Amino acid sequence: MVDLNVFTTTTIYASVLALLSLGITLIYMTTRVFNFAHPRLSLVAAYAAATFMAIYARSAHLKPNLEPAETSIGYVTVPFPASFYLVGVVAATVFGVVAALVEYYAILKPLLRRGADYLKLMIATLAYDFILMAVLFLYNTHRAVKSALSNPLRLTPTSLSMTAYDVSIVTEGGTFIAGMFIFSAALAVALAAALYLLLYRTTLGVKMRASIENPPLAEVLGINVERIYAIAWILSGATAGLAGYIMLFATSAGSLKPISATSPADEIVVSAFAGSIVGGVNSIFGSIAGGLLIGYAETYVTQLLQAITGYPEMFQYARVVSMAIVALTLLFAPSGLAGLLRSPRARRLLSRIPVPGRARGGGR
Amino acid sequence: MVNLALLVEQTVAFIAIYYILTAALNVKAGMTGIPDFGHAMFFAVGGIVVGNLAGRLAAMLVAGQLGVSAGEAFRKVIESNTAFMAEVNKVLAHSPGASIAAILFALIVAPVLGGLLGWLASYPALRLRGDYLAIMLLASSEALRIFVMYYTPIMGATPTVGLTTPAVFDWTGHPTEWSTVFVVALALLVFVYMERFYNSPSGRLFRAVRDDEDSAEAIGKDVAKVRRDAMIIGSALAALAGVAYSFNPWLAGSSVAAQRIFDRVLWTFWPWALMILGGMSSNRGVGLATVVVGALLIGPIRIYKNDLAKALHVEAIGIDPGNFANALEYILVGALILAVLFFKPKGIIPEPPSRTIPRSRIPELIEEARREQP
Repeated sequence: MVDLNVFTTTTIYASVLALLSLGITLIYMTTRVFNFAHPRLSLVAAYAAATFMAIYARSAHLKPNLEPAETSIGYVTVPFPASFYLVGVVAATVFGVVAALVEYYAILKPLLRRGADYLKLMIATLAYDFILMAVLFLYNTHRAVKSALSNPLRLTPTSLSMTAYDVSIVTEGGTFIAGMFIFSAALAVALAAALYLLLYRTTLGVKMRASIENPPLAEVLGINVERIYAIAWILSGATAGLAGYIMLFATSAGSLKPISATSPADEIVVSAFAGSIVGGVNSIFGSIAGGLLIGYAETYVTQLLQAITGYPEMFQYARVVSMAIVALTLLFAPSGLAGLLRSPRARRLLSRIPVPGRARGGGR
Repeated sequence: MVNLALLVEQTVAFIAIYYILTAALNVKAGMTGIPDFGHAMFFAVGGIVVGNLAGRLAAMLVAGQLGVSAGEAFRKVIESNTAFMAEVNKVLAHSPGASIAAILFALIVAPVLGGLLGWLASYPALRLRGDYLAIMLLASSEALRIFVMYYTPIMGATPTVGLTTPAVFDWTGHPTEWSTVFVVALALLVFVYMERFYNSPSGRLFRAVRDDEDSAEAIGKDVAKVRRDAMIIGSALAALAGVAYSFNPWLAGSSVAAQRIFDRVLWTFWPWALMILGGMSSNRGVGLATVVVGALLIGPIRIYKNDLAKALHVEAIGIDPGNFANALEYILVGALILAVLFFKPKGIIPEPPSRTIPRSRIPELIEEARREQP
């Protein structure tokens, strides 16, 4: 029933959504604005990653090695040494952070100081989105970029995909597993764990939670709220960058198309916001869960509907499914998954499960 | 060589379309405070009505001259759109009656359907606040675009090509000029309507709800109804802009495709930019902003951006001229929005005070009311 191939591509897609929803939620919780430019930050990061990887491959005289090697777990293909991928991850993260910080310091912070309301802030993020898109339009058709990306990686800048250079495993049974599947799933889990430790086990986490809960009170207690917000923007930019890196290697996964100035950000923006809203907009872990939920639902609910109705074009309506989930969430559980968990009944049920450290940690 | 007459006429048509669309947004976002980020979907209703319903009506009216039954013509408009509409348009060029019927039909049906969609969209608008609502409407517009695009009874079998529009101005001999006159006439009507509406009791009520819902409710006003009415009026007007756009062979070309009529940048964010620039809830400001930006930016750039790229020799620094043109429009709209937000957050003509009855006339009116009520 469950096709493994569909499952792995859906998992990659769901992890991308989880990362994007997390970034959107972080910004909403601190700066109180829905950042429409968020998915575009991923595209900027993806282009940066591809460019730096191409330059690195050329300067280190790397040639893709697409011959599978036989190991104990099956046939493993590792086209490039680990340093190549590391360059990509670092470039994606750095550029995601830079693009996010430019947005915060050059646009949103000055506007906030002028007392702009939520509408003006939202419009401003849109304007930034357009400018980034235009920059990418100029970048991905530029002669120098074309030549840098075509040699030796043979990439097309207006339809960027590095799926061919992903690590892959073919098991003894003939099952194909993309390296990005393992990377993205591990990343989502690791990120959730790291965020938990940061928020509930460090002083910085306590400061962050205080600044989100009650900024004026936090300020009175000597917490530099502005710096905490900047940290939230850095985290948001970094996760957007990592999402961009995953997109680069997984362009056939779910609804992820090859990368251009517009795609897949323009299509994915609705799903990413859906993940954030379903998660409950004011909950970091809710946003990760919401992103995953939307990612899996878009594939599996559409498949189910296709099986029920027998309509072959049903897969086109994946985004209508996420839209319907958002509508249901807003109408029946406006505080999302996080709100459901915090409801008195859920609390009573949860309190029966013994968890070490619950008494000390305590959820928001 | 720049054809001045062409430039002026096309720019005027652009300005008129954008004025109607921005005024429609102003009713929702400026006057009533509903952050409609899904404005494009109401515009698209107009395009769909023209491509699908008006196309079918025109085909049925001229079916006799094509030797097919009316029912067959009704089906063929969608089933073999491009080939069949080419024949229909040939006949339409000699039948003013059928053409005018199609225009009138679209002018009546599109606002009704647009208003209906606005009424549906007002349900979330009653329950959600600010930013949630904006996201909801944006997502609705995207979802509707995807639905329409792949649902063949609405947009035909080839979603990227779309539907050929009925050439309802061909009988005049000067289709582009007359369709521009049509657009401008509509825009002027909408301007006059908005001027009157702004100072009418319901216009004042809309703004009262925007400024303070609780006070409006406290003096017995139905806030939910006001928000619903604003959505219906604004959406109906947006559908009208969609009709005017789709009938215009210069602006829309000869067909409507879902990708184009649901375009967020063109039909949601440009109107937002123009509205903020003109001044939210300021009809004259919106009019002025559309004329200025339209004449200086939208018209010339959209028409001549490729020539501009050539003239600037952007290929000399490695930039692709075709993409330079695209990028230029996005940079300009982005920069324009940011500049307005930073330096003129209230717009070029801020919201004017309501024109109410002068104080000196009030005793007179009380006198009048007394006389009527013995």
